[in-house]
Amino acid sequence: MPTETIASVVANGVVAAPVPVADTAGPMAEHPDRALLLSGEDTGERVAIHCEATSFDAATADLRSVAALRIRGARILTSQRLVLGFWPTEPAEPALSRLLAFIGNRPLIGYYLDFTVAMLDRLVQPTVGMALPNQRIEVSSLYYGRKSKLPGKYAVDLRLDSILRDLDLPPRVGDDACAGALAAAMVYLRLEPPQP
Amino acid sequence: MSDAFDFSVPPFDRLTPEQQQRLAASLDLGVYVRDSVILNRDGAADCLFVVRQGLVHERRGGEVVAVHGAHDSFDLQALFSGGQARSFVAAEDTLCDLVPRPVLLELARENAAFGAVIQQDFADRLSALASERSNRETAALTMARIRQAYLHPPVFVEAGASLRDAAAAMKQNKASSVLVRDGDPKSGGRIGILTGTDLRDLVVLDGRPVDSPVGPLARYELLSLDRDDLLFNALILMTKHSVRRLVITEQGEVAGLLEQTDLLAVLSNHSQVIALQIDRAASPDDLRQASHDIVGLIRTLHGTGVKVSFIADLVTELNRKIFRRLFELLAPPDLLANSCLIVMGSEGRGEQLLKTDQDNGLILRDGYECPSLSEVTGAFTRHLVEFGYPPCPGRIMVSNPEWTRPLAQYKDSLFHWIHRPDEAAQMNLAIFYDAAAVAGDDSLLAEAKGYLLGRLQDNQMFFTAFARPALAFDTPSGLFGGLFERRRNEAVDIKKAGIFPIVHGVRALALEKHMAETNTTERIWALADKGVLDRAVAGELADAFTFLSTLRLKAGVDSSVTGTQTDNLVRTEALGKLDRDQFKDCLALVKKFKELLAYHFHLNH
Repeated sequence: MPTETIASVVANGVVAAPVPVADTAGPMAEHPDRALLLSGEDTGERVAIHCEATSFDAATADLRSVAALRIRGARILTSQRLVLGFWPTEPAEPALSRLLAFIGNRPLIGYYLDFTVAMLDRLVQPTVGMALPNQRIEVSSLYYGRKSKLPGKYAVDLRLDSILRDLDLPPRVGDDACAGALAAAMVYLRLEPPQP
Repeated sequence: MSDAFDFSVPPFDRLTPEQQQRLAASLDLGVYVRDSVILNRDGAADCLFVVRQGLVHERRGGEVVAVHGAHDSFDLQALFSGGQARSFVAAEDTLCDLVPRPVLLELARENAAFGAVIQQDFADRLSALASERSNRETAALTMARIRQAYLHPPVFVEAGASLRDAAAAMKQNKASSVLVRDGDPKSGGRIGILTGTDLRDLVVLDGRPVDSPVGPLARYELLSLDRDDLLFNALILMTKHSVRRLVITEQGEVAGLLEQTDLLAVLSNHSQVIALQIDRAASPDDLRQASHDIVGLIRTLHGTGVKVSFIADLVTELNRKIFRRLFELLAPPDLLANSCLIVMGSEGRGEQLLKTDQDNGLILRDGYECPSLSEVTGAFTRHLVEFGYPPCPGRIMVSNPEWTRPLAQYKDSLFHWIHRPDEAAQMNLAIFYDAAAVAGDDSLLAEAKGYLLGRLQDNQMFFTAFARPALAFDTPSGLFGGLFERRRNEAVDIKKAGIFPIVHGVRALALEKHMAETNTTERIWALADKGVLDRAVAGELADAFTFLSTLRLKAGVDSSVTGTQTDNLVRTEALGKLDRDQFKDCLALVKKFKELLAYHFHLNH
């Protein structure tokens, strides 16, 4: 089963990644990215992911950009970040293929992750033949789980910027997908530090 | 992404805009929660950590030696030379920008100004570390008291005695001077001194009859200091008046005479002097003297209140130097190149203070034969015994062929010790795990240890058996505190009741985690870094271990003249109130630690 190697990823670059050969042999044939997503390899890594879209309605919005960051131990590998732009006039497959290679079988971490994954699934489902199977970790629910244990009658403020402020993390610089992914990664590491 | 990286802080302000951009693109971000370990002791660093926010403690053992806040970076030593004896722990929730090593090197190469700053920082760092040690020791010596030097007991003659009587008293007492008592000092009498030089001048040069009384001839302007005065003041006084002896008083009474040679002997018990002596030794006899001086050094340092862990470091280093030099003097060059001399047990752990039994061995390279091997090893052991290191009752010495073997046979033994554990095997394994290389090719020991750690599976049965001896001796404390009070007059074996359970328990935990450290305190802190021990417990345990070692040293220094450690008994009634309370606290802690071990290794089943 051919698996795509993880090419060196260039920040923000538009790269002509190899287009996966469209499978025409029949519905039973498997898309090569499928094996990547379902591989049993344990990298110990996680991927923080965030997207920008034209609206917050996952059914109708258009995807604009996706940013993904790998997390290894206590480190956020910002130097190897992947930022992809999507345009309605361009085919999404090359970018999607790079994204799936970057993610692999790693658990996904994000803020409002369901929306990001729903947006991606609209692209992944038709090409790969299944929705993203990765484990999902929603940082706002990690935060809520921690806050709701404390006695108090106030509602928990779940806005991302409020969470950052409350956890004494640096504020987002800009509000692009990349800043969102970095914020989610930091919140995750602060709330779920790696065990020594 | 790392727009937050502050390039206005040196050395990064030296970079050109293009280089700044390249650096920014290469940064990763580390997120560390409070109390998590950022960089382990001895851990090689793949990047330079620049604190963005938060606080990082640089620890050596339990001590915080430096604090790094925002914009500070660490650790150049870990980055370039490795083997730093320090660990870095987040004291608050901390974010660090991580500059990868290759990028840092590349920028340092391209940008001379940037490189120079980095290099300077690194050099400053290393010299600060080096001078810290020698300062501590010099400070200790300047604080030494006259009490620590040898005082010649005073020899008195009455004022009416003749010069001949004075000379006879000197000869009889092997003294170089006598004190002359003119009347009772309590009722306005005075005390004078008459030295051998005075006698010579008076009798030989001036021709005085030998039966003239000493009273009018003695000198009564005595230079005296109190026994609790600083040794340094004695040196100054002697230099100022060009005399070679001072009268030392204690509570107004003459306690003895301090001779210049004895004063210099104390001050020259400096580790660097001894180290030089060892390096220049051309024969085993030269080493004997150096080995003897170490005992004096221990006494001086201990007397001035230097921490036991520091003394142990120093003594370990000097002892290993002696072993290495002796082996180099005795062994032919090809043996030196094809073998590794190891010390084990307390010497390997670097916790030896006074001279304890020698535990040493020799690992030979596979396939190497040395015709004169048995002569060399026999001479080595014999010389060490002469130096005052008692032979090992278990015969764990190079002169025993069991412990002078090729690497392959060591591996065979290790295999047997692990898989067919009996009491001797357990002990051999324990002391071998503590082994440290002293001379020759240390890769041989590294290979044997690697084999040992590789053979250990996560076999609970093995570790249960290995850890069990830690509970073998009773620690009197806890619920039976009352009983302890009644048994106050009984001596407690501090080694069995306190030190051994800590050493062996920590060793078992360290072995289970496949740690490379050999020193007990270092193992305790490494276990804390790995989360096996709670940091607070680790701190208490390390303190207790230090305290018990101090007590043991005190008992040893007091009871032995030759500087060998044989007696481990501590009589509680002989301790001061503070020491006694702390001793009881330590034993209670050891008891708690034993419970922890019993739970961890399932020793109660």
